[in-house]
Amino acid sequence: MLLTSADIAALILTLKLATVSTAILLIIGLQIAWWLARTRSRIKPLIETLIALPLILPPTVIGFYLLLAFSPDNWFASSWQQLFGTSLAFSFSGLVIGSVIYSLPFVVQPMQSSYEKIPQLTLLTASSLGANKLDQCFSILLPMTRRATIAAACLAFAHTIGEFGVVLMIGGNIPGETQVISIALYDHVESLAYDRAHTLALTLLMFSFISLLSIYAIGRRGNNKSNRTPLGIRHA
Amino acid sequence: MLDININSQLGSFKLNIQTSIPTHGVSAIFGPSGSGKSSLLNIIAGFNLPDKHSMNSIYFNDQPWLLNSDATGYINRPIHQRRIAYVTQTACLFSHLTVQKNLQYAIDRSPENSNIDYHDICTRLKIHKLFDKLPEQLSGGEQQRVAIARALLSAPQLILFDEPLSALDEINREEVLHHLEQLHHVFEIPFLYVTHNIEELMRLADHVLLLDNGKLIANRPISDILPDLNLPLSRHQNSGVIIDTAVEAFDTQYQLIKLNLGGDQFLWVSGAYINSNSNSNKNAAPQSRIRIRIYAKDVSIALQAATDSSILNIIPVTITDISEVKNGQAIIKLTCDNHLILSRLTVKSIQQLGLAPGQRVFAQIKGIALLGAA
Repeated sequence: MLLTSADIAALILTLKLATVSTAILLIIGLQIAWWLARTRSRIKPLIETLIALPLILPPTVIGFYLLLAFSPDNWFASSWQQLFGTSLAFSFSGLVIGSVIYSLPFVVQPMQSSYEKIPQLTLLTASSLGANKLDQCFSILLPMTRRATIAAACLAFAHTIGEFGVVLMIGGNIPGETQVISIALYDHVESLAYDRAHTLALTLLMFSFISLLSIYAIGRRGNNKSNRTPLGIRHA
Repeated sequence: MLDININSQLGSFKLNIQTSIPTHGVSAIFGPSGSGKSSLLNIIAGFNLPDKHSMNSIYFNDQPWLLNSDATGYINRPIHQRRIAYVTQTACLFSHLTVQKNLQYAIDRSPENSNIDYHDICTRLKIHKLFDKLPEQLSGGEQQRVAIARALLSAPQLILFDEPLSALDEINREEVLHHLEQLHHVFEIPFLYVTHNIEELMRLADHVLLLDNGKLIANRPISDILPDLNLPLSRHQNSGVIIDTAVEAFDTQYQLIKLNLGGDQFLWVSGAYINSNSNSNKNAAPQSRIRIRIYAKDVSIALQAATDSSILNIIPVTITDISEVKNGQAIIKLTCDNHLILSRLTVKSIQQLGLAPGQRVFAQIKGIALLGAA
């Protein structure tokens, strides 16, 4: 009972999507989380709400609005088309955008809560010793919040792998291009190919189990009492 | 000089200070809590910014740190380019780094041509044994010693201290204070030291800025500011004076140092007052200058020089001023040659002896503390 080439293509595409999305999420998540952790702006609750929305919205809702945004007569999609020469709908880039939005709270929330625990004076002390902002980020912020960053990355990666609703709405189902593992599984079940469905499902199950296990193991290793749930958030 | 011109609303608090602070020795910022000491220090460091609408400026030896004028626009030198070090109440060591790596952090970011001696600093502050520990494994005093070493190793132009001893217990406080006393003589880096503790002020400061309610009351050398009866320091329970004076001789038989007050007047200080540090013999060498402290409560007054008293130091003085404080007590300002001494007496004694300004009397000094090299 081995994976077929189509399944392997879906698997590779899924891993590629998760890797690219996670990388983008870490970069923008760090900045959003840092801003949220430090700001006294009145729009902070608004931003927090927007970022948390994917936690409660059915993925199909997000997928639906993204589909509208990706339609060629939309200003966003048309300017993307002009800029990059490709359409967003039913494309890998479109999937990345969808995944980033969908997984954003899973990255921002653990990062934000760990950044809030870093005393302002620690960073000011570093700057008085001659560290500029970028230096502070790599010498103080990231090392001190290493566990949160790892947890955020694992969550983003695993969550993207498990994505279904958003992908279904905006990705279409083009093998090798936008067909991810969860969609391929759905296809197998639809076409009553239960053997192939089993193989894929088991692969996905094992992967999720191992990634979660490693997150909790990382969480256990530290002795940070204030952060007993290593994820900092509840998984819906 | 550190030239400051701050006129700024900070929340509900208004800070209004125009002054110049010497950039050598220890300058202390002293005042009650809520007087704006730490706010001023944070603005000098660049940790807080005064409001942009008012005309503020900070110059460190002609180097603009903060400037807001119509001619130049708004200039704010980033903290990491000010070359300062900041020692806080809580040490603020980097918790993810060992002691050695905390120190290395400062060295890595110090200017290349700085000639700071790493081993000398670690030896002076006794931190070789702590190298591999994490900050959380250190006592409060050890943390503060590492923080001070880290500050020195960054080779700063100025070190800012925000009540560095206030979070320590008595034993650790004394130890760190002792280190600070030694260090400011060894290194030429100016210290700007915020405190509300008069003991720290007397032992460390060369120069004092007195703050109250966001305003500067006085900015003068310590020897000048302590005996001023118009200032609150003289009315403090532990008020006193600091005198920088020359060693005349050392009496080996009685272990006493003879100090020349000028005008053929001498004070005897017990050698036991010398801290058991390596500088003790140097302190006592004739002609070297040392700093002593005399508390007002240790000085009593007699109309005649007593010959039947155990008090060693009885010197003729002239009363220049009397100021009543609270609880039936008064502070008397005395001069001996050109030195000022304070005496704290009860109003009852003053009336019984009939003391008045201009009168020549004898000061009986019960205790003199030797603070170290002047």
